[in-house]
Amino acid sequence: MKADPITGFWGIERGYLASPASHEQFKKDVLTGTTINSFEYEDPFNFIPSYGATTSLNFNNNFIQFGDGYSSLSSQGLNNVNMQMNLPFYEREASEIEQIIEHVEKHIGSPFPFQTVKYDDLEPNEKYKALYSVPPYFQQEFQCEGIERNYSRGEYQNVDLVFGNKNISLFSKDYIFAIPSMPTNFYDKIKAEIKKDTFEHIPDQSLNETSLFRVKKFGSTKSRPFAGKERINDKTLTYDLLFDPIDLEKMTLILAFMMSKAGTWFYFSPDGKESSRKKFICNEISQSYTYNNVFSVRCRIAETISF
Amino acid sequence: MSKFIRYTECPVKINEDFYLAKRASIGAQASATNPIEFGGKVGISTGIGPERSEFFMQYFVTGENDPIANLTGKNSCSGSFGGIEFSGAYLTNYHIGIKPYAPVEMSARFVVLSGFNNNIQESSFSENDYTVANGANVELTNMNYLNIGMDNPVEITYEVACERIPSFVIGSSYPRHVNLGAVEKYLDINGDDIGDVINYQERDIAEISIKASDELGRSRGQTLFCSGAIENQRLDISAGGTLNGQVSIKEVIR
Repeated sequence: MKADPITGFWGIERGYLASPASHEQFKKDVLTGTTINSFEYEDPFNFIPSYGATTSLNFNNNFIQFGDGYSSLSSQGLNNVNMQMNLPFYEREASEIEQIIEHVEKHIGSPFPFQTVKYDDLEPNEKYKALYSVPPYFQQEFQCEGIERNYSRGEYQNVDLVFGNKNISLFSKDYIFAIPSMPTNFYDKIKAEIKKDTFEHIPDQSLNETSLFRVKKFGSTKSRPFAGKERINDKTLTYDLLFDPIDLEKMTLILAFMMSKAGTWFYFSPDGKESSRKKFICNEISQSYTYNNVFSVRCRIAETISF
Repeated sequence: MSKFIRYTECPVKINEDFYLAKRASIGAQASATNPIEFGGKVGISTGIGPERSEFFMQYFVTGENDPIANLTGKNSCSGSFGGIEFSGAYLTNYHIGIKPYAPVEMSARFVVLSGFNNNIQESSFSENDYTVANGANVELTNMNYLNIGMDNPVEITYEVACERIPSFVIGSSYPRHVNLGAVEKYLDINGDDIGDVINYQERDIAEISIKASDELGRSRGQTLFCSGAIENQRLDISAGGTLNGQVSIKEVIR
């Protein structure tokens, strides 16, 4: 196999990632193409999970603490997002459970595509959905990290799988929820959301707020430590934000915003008022599939004090 | 526009069979919640689970067999009454009540998992000459003192309870399939005392059979069978009354 003499790329076949005439054309095809050509994954995991499935996103950042409570974030690497799906397959026939387990055991230690709807089974204007693993994630490659099987009754059984993905990078994180071939209206909303510097969604009334006090401490080996009030920045807030129940669009906007800020701060105030907003970082997101077009999202955010 | 439709009879159709019902009802209950934002703003009602719909009917068997008694397995059924059509219905409870010199009354409860088609209209029972089972013409086997500790049963109720477990997948409003869970039979017998055998608790019994007929001795509904174990016994006495006994038998099918 030879590299393309013009672009320098290796082994790129025609298709969605079409062999481009130039590097500029390559970027255009990948990032701004509005149609996707026919494609078929090789041996995808195509079993649809039951309601109750959850996805968690954790952002790996170094928290650098300066004097007087000031802090800064530094990404631990290019791939600083841990994505984990907990997928229940409940009340399935024993034969289906066997197929599910056989599929993931065949791929122990190696990634495989996760695709719940095939390209050929979709209407022309919905072909983009073939790129979902499960909505709203345009993220197909997973490794199975474990199986929990319950023999509830001989004929029908339950199995829980844990899928992991650590491929999301600082460069790809904005394309997990928005691809150009999805409906333009929704795509534009997501792109507009990730450009914002303020998180504007009002959480559920069951808001959990934790205040952490920063105090001056002084001690020696011969006496108990002495604690006193800090001069400035003596309190930081942590919020556990719940959005439940919400629809697919609102969930996607929340997730896309938090994902776009993986490693950077944003403004937020629980009541949405500009006067009370502060700077926060998001450490962890958990999302679950409740029923039909109903979802819930929980975000843990912590106040950060920076210039 | 409201309609006032009077029913002289209450005809119900299950699959392709018409039933002479005494009462029939259908209802749906939504699993919905109203989200409330921080600050108190109330959002619109949102369905957070499948709608739970139920169809119930009390009826009399007018033919030799009762096809509803065959729905205790994995099969679903469709039906209609009063112009409302439903499908994807699964029998959850089948009940028979036998009293002396009274018509043998059946009741059936279904969970409906695939919606309705509404077109309220009047209809009537087309059969002109029908007979129903009578409590005075019920043939009992093994319903005696040696087996259940009671010789003279007065009132008998027989029930089959079928657990239905729908399996939903992400993105779907309706279940992909419905699994049959536990199936249990219950037989309650009230009669003239249970004598000195009240310690029969947990005792396995010989299979009891119940065969109901009309006044002319023609079979009405299948012969019912129940074995299992005596689960409960009770003796009642009250001032001015007679000594009454009750025996409850439970049989676990799956």
